[in-house]
Amino acid sequence: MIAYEWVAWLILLLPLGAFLVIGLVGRRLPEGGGMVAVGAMAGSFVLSMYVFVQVLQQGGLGGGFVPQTIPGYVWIPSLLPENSIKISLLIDNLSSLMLVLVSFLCLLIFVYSLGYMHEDDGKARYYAEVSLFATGMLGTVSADNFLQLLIFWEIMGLCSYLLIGFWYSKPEAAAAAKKAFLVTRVGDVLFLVGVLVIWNVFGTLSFAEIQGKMASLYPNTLTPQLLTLIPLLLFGGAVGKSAQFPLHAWLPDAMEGPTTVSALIHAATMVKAGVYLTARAFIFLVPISSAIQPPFTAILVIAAIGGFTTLFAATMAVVNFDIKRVLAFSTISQLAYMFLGLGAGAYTMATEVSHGEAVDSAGYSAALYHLFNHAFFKALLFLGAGSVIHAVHTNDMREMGGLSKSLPITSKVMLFGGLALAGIVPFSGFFSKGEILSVTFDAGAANPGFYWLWALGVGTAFLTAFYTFRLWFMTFHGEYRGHEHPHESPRVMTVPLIILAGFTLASGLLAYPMGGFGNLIFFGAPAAGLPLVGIPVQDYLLEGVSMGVAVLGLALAWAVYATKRIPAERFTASKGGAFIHRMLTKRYWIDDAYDAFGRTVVYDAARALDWFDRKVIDGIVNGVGRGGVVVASGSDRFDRRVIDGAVNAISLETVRTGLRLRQRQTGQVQSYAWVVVLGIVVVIALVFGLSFLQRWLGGLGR
Amino acid sequence: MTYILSLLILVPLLGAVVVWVAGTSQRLAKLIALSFSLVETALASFLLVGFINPSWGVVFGPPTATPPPTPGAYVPLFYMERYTWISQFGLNYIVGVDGLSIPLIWLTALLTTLALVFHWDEENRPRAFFGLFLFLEMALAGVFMALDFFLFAIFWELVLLPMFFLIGIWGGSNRRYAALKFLIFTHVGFVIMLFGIFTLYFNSAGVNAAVYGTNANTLDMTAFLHGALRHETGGLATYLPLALQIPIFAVFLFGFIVKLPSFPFHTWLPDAHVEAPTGGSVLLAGVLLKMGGYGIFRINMGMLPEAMKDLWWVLAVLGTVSMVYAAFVCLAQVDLKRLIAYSSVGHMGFVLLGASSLTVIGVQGAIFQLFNHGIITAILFMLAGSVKHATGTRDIPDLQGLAKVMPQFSLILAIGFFASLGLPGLNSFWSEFMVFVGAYGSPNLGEMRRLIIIPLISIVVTAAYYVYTMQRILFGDVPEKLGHSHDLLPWERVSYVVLVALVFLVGFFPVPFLGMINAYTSASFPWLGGL
Amino acid sequence: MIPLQYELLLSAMLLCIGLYGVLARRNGIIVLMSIEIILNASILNFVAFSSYSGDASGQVFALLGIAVAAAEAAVGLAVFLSIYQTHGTIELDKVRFLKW
Repeated sequence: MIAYEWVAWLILLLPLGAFLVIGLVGRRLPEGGGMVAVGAMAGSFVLSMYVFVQVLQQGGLGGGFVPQTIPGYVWIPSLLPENSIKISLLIDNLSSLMLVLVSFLCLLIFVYSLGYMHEDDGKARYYAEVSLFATGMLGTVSADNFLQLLIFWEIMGLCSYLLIGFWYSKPEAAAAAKKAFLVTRVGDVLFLVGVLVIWNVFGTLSFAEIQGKMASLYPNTLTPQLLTLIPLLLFGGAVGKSAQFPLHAWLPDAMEGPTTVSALIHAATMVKAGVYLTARAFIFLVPISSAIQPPFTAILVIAAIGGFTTLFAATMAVVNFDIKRVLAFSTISQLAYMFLGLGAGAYTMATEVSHGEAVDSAGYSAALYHLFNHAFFKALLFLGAGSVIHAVHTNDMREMGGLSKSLPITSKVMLFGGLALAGIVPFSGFFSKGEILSVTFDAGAANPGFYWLWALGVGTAFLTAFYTFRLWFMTFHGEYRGHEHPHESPRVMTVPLIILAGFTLASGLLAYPMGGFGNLIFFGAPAAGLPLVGIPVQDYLLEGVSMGVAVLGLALAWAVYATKRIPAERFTASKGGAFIHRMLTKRYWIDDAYDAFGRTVVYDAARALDWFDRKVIDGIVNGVGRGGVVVASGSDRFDRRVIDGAVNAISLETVRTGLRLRQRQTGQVQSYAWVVVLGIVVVIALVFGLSFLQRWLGGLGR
Repeated sequence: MTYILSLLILVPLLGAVVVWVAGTSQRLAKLIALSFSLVETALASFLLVGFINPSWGVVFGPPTATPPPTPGAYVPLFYMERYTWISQFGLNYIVGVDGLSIPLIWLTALLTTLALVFHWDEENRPRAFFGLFLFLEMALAGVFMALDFFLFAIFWELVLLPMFFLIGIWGGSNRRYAALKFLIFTHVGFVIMLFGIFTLYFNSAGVNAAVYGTNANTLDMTAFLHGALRHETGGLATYLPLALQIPIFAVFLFGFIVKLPSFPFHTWLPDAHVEAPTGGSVLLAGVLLKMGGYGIFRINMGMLPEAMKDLWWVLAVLGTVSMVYAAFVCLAQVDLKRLIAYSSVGHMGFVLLGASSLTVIGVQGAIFQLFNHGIITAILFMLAGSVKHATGTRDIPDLQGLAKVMPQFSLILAIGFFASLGLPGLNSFWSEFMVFVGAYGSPNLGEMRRLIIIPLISIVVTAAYYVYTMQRILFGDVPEKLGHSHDLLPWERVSYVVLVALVFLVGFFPVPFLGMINAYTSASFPWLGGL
Repeated sequence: MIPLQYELLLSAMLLCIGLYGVLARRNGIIVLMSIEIILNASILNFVAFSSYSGDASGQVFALLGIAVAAAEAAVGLAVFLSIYQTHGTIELDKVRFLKW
């Protein structure tokens, strides 16, 4: 158990507090609140190290540390306390390591930002937003249930949106931000459905509780279909967040944001969240109990998407001239490696579980090892690129060249990063990438499809080295092709670069004192013995292959871009080559397809429904209204002509009768007297007449 | 006997009268109106606080539920006041509140105050304007606390009156049409509901006898509430038969669906909103729409549970269609206020979907959505008012680059839009999530569960139209004519700060309200399934 | 005794004479006098029947009739005096004030 466990909450609360402070009074603070952000992050880092050290001390290496949940408060109450949804922190090997990694990278990048964002007017807004982002990422990796993960995941999405669109007066930035948010939203919806299904099946969202309930719920409530569906849905979220095919389109465009944002969010941390989520989804992919049939289909999907995307993205990196976009595609490709590693490892582990053998966590550990290493060298490369851009005020590599003279520190650290990315020994990338490829090859024994994926991975390694050094040579080698006066960046920017460069070397070698990275980060049982695993000879061979391929790529880049022995135009001279080049530049026309889809299917559907609402539905309403008016005027006319007419007619006749009768009044008394006499006569006649009639009739009766 | 509820009705009424009589100048009118509405808000806050934590000594005594005379399961209704009125017709003055109505009453009081503050510079006939708001507040509070059908009907109709005038006199260019459409449409809905009320009245003798021991027709809602609950928990053998419940359910549902509003009876809403003055829209969307939701829970679910169990699919279909249809229509809108109006239609679809799920968490989510949406939509309509005031237009194509000229406005707009699309950490996420969990976990669905993907489409489309709108109006370069737009006015800022703070607070600590709603749901609807 | 028929005949003749006077004479005073003759005829009738049947009520009615005749003559003459004073004529052709 961690002593002073409440300290863990501070890891999240410090950057949140920084966000609030900078958000409210940032403008008045020095550096726009940057010092507050750096200070908060430093605090978070120290506390994360404290927690991590505690984990190590309590047997973290070798699996002796029991994962601990630090409870918080209730979010959604329920009658049964165990059904209520709470916010709590999970401290285990993986989360504590991630906390350290994230807080450290954030700290370095924030310090770098002090220099990079120094002249920007909106830097208070920047520091507030990145602080909130830090909270989000730290919350994501320390969540103990899927809902909490989702919540902080989306908070990160918000910050990504805000930060990509940071220079909002640029329409491209605004458009890129919108694209990022919407594409990841699609992934988020899939994630949400996954959460719904999990809740429906398990009644809980906490990782530990789910794992506990799995055996009892299988196979009735937790059907095999659901067991395949759940991890796929979660992976859907990961595909969005980690920019895998087919939801990859947002990441290259996201480079519109400041380079520190690209480094932090789109290389080192946020995009890793998808990998982290898939790692947590291993509770579904590799069920501990051998009574449960593992979802091999889901695992294959994950591995296949990983394998495909890695080559897919690498091809697009090869033709791009924007230094940041090359790195963006590279990130997609490297993330895909991690998914490939997770998939291959899961497959092997699942096979072992279903055969009742001991679980060998190699793939899981390898992928997360690559995550760890990649965070450092990718951040380094992006920050280096930022330093370059800062010096030459352009992203276009065609206007760079020969910068190793004017930017000595930057060029050297970027060389380190490049070597790590390409996977050349002894840099970190060599170990982790090589491991992933080994694991993939090993998984081929269980399913031959993995041999194809291994081939894709090897091909990608070649391309990776190629485009990495294409980038390096175009930027730093040869003669300067631009018109600016480049100079090295200030120390506040170069010091983080140097620290990161140190890590690109060290993080690989760090595995040795740990007894292998798999000793710290594993699933099920520790996979000690990393960085080497499996049959040693085969393993060395495989490592040799991946390294060899990387060297080949480097050599080709050297030939084309450094020494110009092979002119680059040779590749695009042929018609096929030119077509391929265009296809890659256009990113396989997928972005255009998405835009067209959005414009026509979605927007036109929207306009159609709006027309429908206005003309048809409202038309009916208005029609009813008009019908009511017609009926009303008809009634009015009926009322006025017929009914009122009758009333009027009565009164008119009465008056006319009166008029006619009036004329009888002659005023002459004697005429009145005549009338009297007449009346008397009539009465007498009547009386006599009637009595005669009576007597006559009575006589008849006899 | 406590009298806080009657006070909640009398205070704004008195305020309206005083404003009309004594508000001879604009300054005086608004000050009087504001003070009365602040008193009302304070009273409502007392009520709310007393509910969240009964030990925080409320001036009017802690809330105690009043059980009816004959023993059996009873619906906890608090602060009940019961005065006999015309007992020959079974018509009495009965008011009471519970976890459903208290958040809504508090919302009414809060939004009225904020709407008044927002219109601080109203020049056109201020005394009538402010007076009408207070009158509206009274009527709304009355609807939510009335427990006698006659009282309910009176207040329901009384709500229409001030709204009609507010739209018709202080509204936009097409106000006469919009006001008339609003009045007639919602009035027709009400008239059809009257059939339901009459039917219930003439069939109430048996229920009344079982619950209160008097064998006479009555318009007392509590008789039906208690009767339904006892029937569902097995304490009462005969209640209203299903064949009777279904037509009553249908007519009431029609009335509430017009008010909510739900597709296809929603078309009065865009026009009414676009033409209404900002404060009118705030109350219209923030509270009036909730009357429909309140009615569904109080009457359709509370008194006619058998029919609800049969006809849940009607609500599910209407809710889903509303959500998706409205989201798409929003995307095509040009007028910002019309866009926000349609978004209300979509969000109310959540309420129907949650109610139809017949699960505890789904119903809770739906009720919570009523409250959350009220807050968020108030912010959004105020934003529409601010932008019109500052730039003179609400047309999205004409607005651009506002983040540079009006940064405070842009911040609130971003918060409002993200809150409305359900970003976690903000209040609406909880209600939307709970609705989805409930709908997916509904015991009625079985294999059709995967249809959940249809309402989920609305989430993506909602994000799309909000983010797209933000991109168009906030970002990019500032065109010439917008260059001199002023940012938020001080009284606008007050309103926004309060609401935004609430959005965040409820987003991070939903428990105070959720606890209330949870208590209500579990007590009133023990027949709901799921978790 | 005088047979009843003769008396009735006399009163009938008087009635006719009076009726002729009312209907056919222009002068208002003549009309009044004719009305008196009619009244006299009816009085005579009453007396005849009374003496013939031995019932005294006929004679009472006759006295009543004389009184009525006297009163009516007074009123009528007063009216005609008033008309003569205001309009200067009592020719019934010219006294048409109640014409429509």
